[in-house]
Amino acid sequence: MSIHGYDLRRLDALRRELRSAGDTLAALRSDDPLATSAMGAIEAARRALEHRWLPDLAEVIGSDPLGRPARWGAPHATSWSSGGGWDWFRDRGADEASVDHERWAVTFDELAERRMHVQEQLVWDPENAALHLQLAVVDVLIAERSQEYAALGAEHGSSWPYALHDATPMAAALVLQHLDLSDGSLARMCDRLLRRWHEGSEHGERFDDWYLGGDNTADIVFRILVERPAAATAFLQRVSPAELFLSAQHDDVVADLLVVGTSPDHVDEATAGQVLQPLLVWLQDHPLPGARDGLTRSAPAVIATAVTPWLADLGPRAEMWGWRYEEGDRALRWLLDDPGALAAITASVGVWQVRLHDTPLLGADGRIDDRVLRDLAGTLAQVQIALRDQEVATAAADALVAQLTVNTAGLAIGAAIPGGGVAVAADVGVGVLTPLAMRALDRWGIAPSVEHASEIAQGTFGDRAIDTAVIAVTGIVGLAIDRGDLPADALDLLDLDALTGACAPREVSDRLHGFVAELEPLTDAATHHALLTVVYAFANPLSDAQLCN
Amino acid sequence: MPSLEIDLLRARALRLRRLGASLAQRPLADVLRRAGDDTWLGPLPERWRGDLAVAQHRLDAAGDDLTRQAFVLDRRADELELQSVAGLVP
Repeated sequence: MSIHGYDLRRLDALRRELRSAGDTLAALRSDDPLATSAMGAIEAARRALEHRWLPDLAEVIGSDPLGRPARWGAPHATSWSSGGGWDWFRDRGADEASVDHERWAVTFDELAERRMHVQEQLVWDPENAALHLQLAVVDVLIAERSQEYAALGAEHGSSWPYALHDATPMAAALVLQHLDLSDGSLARMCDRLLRRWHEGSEHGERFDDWYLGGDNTADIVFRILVERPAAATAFLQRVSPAELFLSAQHDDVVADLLVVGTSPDHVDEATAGQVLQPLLVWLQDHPLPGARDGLTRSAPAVIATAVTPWLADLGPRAEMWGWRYEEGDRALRWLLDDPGALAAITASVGVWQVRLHDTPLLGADGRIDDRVLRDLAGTLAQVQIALRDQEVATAAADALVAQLTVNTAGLAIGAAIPGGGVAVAADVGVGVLTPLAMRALDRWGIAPSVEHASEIAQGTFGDRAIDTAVIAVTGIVGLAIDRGDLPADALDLLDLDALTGACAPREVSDRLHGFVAELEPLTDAATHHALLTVVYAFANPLSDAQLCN
Repeated sequence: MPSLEIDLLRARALRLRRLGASLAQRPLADVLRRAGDDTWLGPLPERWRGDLAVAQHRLDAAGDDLTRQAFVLDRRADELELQSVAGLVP
């Protein structure tokens, strides 16, 4: 082996990187004739990686030609354990030899087998207290043995729980939750476990829990990840759609995993797109088995809650997720066409609004940044048009649109409050409607409350985006009147009665524009700008034309 | 059935573009970065780095080619769509 020098720790990192690259290359597939040449390059790289580069590294690391003992010195040991837990490191060496991983794997397998036996009985006798007690005892034993194993590993400087590679996936999953793994390591381990579970045992047979009732390996793995958001995200970035959706017995845990792993609380827009966009594409072509049994959720329903905070990325912000508007819109329509997904989106649309709560709506010059409002307006119009085109006229659809309308108006009003540097929560925004504004809205038959959403059907003016504009303009003017920035009778200038034209949204839009122009000499520049921004975002002539035609 | 053909062309373009985007992430770039002199030195590592760089270069070229092919398919779909709108295609 013609090498002059090397750093064993870095070589191991290199090997990990190489394996990860191998996984990435192996996942790339295409049977398109135009991709033949590309697939050839990918396959060549993958083969070189597997048959030359990885064996080269294994030989250097394994034989250690510099003659050093396989055990690392203390300085290295601190460096790899400084991450707060075990991390991926290197093959078993002399240090790991003192921990009998294979024996531990057998112990874990035995415990897992006992647990599965009890679990299977519980499926048929779910109220049996004695069985529940047995299950709890086995769980305690698993926790104790896992902690013993972890302590032994730490004592001997063992860097990785190799027993989990030897144990069955179910046993490994049960032990995994008791080990102090870093987020990245946990994600990788879960990914490998799930893949091994899908591939089956060495003889190609399915593992036992595949056929048993109750939680299977995937359910347990997903539940562990739900408790670790960063690991959940890393896992979702690695796992294939088929492994994610065609594994767990319980679809609620898959839905939870998606929500946690793509939550705007800790994931940015691009990362959420990396996870959700490919899943949305895949799911449209792959209906989930069992989705018609009346018990299992449909594919759209499973993913809908996770997608809701990112609805704008299926429309106005599609390019942020690396797809075209039409592709995002197709996915949105696929979601809205499913009653379960529609209900899930309606129920979780508040999360989206909470996310906007933290979005600055005022620019550096103190004026409203209209990009956010335009995205909101675009999404609202898109949802409306999709529901209309697909003739979805249920109460749930109506509630969704009404909720979007009212909450969006609330955000616009909140942004227009003087001195407010960030948006206020949507319901607070609506909450600041003055009595004068409420009376005006009542007169026009617009109820600015989500509770009345289903009662007001498709809205007084035939277009909920226009309703949003009316609510927001009325709210902003009402506040300006309260501050003394506008005369008390300013709202009387807005006449929305006796609409005559064929296209009500267009007519209301024209009247709103006229009203705002009339107010300009009566109010300050900031209020006028806020009114203009809202009117242009929501009373948009283009969307009127789409809706009226 | 021009609309079916258009949809097929767009779907193919999308898949090719997606594969191209995966290659644009440069799957071997991090391996190359970690395979420098500070990790190991000598003739074997030298040859290794050369092989890796060549493989990465081929993947880059393959990714570019896929993006081009996707563009061509999209153009073709656009043309068919225009012809269909103009009534040139039955």
